[in-house]
Amino acid sequence: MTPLNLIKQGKSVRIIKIRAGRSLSQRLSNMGLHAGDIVKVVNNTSGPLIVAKNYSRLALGRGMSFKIFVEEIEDK
Amino acid sequence: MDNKIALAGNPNSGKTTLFNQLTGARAKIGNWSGTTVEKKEGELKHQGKELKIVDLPGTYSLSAYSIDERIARTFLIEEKPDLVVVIIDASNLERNLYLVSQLLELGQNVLLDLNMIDLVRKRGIKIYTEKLSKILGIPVAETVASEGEGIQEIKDKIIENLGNKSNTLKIDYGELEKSISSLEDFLEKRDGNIDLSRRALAIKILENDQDILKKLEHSDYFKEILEMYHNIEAKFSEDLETFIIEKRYAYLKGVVKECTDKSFTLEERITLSDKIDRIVTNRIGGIPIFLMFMYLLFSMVFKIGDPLVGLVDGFFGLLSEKASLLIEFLGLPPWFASFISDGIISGVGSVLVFLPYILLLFLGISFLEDTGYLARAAFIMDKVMHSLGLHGKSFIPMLLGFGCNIPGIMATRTLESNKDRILTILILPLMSCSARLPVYTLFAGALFPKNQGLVVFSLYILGIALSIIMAKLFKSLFFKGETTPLVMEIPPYRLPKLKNILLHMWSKSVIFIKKAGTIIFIAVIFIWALASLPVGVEYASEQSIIGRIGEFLAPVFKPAGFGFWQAAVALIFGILAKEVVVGTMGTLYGVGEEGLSSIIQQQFTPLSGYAFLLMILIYIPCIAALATIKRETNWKWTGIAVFYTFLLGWFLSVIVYQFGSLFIK
Repeated sequence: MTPLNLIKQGKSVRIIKIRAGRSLSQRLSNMGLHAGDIVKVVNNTSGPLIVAKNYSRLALGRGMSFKIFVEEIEDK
Repeated sequence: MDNKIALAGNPNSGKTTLFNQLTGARAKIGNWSGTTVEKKEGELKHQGKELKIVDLPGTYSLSAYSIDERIARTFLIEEKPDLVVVIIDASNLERNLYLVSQLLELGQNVLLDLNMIDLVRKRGIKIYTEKLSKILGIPVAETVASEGEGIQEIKDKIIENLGNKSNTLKIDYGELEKSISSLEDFLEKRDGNIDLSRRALAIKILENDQDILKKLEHSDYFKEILEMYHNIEAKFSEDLETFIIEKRYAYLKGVVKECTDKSFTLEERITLSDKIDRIVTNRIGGIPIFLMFMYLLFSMVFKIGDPLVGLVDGFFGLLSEKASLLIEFLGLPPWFASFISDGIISGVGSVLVFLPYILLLFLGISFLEDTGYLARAAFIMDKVMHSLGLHGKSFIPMLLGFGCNIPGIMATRTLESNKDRILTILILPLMSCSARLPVYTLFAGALFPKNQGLVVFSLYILGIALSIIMAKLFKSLFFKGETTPLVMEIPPYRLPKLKNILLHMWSKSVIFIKKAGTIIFIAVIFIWALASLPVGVEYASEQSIIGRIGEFLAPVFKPAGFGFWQAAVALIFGILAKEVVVGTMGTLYGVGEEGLSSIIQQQFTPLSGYAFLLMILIYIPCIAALATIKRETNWKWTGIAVFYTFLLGWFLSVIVYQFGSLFIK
């Protein structure tokens, strides 16, 4: 389990756990991010990240990315 | 009979565009009662029927976490529209369907609109619309709202499905089903005053929905319900709310899988949008590219705007001249002529003069917004803003503030957290708006002929620096705690349609125009009266009430180096609109704007002149900005904005003048 902020740009990951308070989890879930989802890190330099889930792209504040735990998966 | 239709959907799904297509872009704009959230209503005439369309706020779900969601939900439950049209981004089926599933659980009559269906087709994905319609038990339409495709068909479908009895969607909540039915049984025996099915109510209770619980609070069985809830919660190993949400998604995942061909869910490849984003949001290139866009935006606004502003200004000048001639010709008293030309026409004119800037600024912003770039700008600036204790989305409002504070204040609506919003609104007046520029150039030209540009530039930078300091201060005073982290959707780039951009521009600008006709109008009359009374004095002379007020206030500004009544009066008039300071001084010294330079050189030293400019930069926002702050927050924050800007401006100009006097003789 790695926090999302440590994942290199271009890698795909599976979300294992979201360790955030209720309202944060709710917002993530409203935007379509849940445990079990496979997402691709499109942009991770400094500051916020962009992840891709299917066709949608989400910007996540860096502080948020510490709370999302993921595992890397091989790209198909 | 008037049928009521609600339009719901996620942000970025094309809801506004569809609303415009259905209503012919004629909307009645107001606020949802008790809030500052904009409410849009329009009319759809089709097949001889007249339908009222209410545009609900764009939301991702119907939980009770944000004002927008609560408004949408309250409307749906209490007003019971005959049909809810849910517009969704078809290329983002799973997430968008979440809102649909919640609507169906609430027992609403839903028509689903798969928008942007062209994108889906282009990507070679097939959505089995009929199957989707069958599984969810609702009619489904397909549109490309931005192109006007499918609009006739959806209008037909709206008429066709008015007042359908919808069969409530039943999602299987697995292990929780038993608890749901026991809660349902309990509720069955009570007279509920909430218009929801027992099952929906039971699920809402298990979701720990605060709004619903509050409504039940006064019932005599509330205690029992809570008890049941706590029992169920204790027995259950997971967080109930999370569990329910996850079950809904699991269900929708299944629906999407069944109704699309495989390529849909596997799609994660890098699109053209991502390639553009690699450059535009790049760590090194992002900010320079962003600054370049902003430079282009502002030079467009001022290049095209300047001549237009001149035209409007000339028009009002001519109008006031002709009006007083006409009044004289009609034999009406001179005070009436002054009321019309000095008061109403030049007062309202001095505000409307900015309309070209506002329209152009909003034109540019709407363009950047519709292409999708604006979301990237917030993304790029998030890190910088965060280190200032602000939010990435605070940046756009502050940027707009340089054009005019009013659209800036209004643009804070995109911030989800109320704390972040108020904080941004409070520091916004420190962004030096274009109305202050004429005052700067006049004074800098007269007193610092060699360093004019530098002086003006220093004021802009000072405004930004002060906003950073004040943001920190306000945060530690009023808004302790973390800034809400950024979570936002980055929509794919799109080539916007001119018509849509113009419509967006208009809907944003119309509020400004309305204001000129109401609050500003009243303020203008008030100040005119102060400047004309007591009867018989020369307009805005030393003997008028305002002159006396100026005289009275002048000593306050003495330590800042401009303790004469004309400066005080100019500052009072400046509250009307900052650029009015120039005209007022012209009137007060009886020289017109051309002779002002030499008067300023006599009255001010470079030091006291700079202190005066500092005051102009910082002190009390103009009436129109204050009215907007009041509208967006409340009297308390408006009062704070008035006081802190006045005190800060006064202190700084005093410090600069006193400290400077030590060095400059």
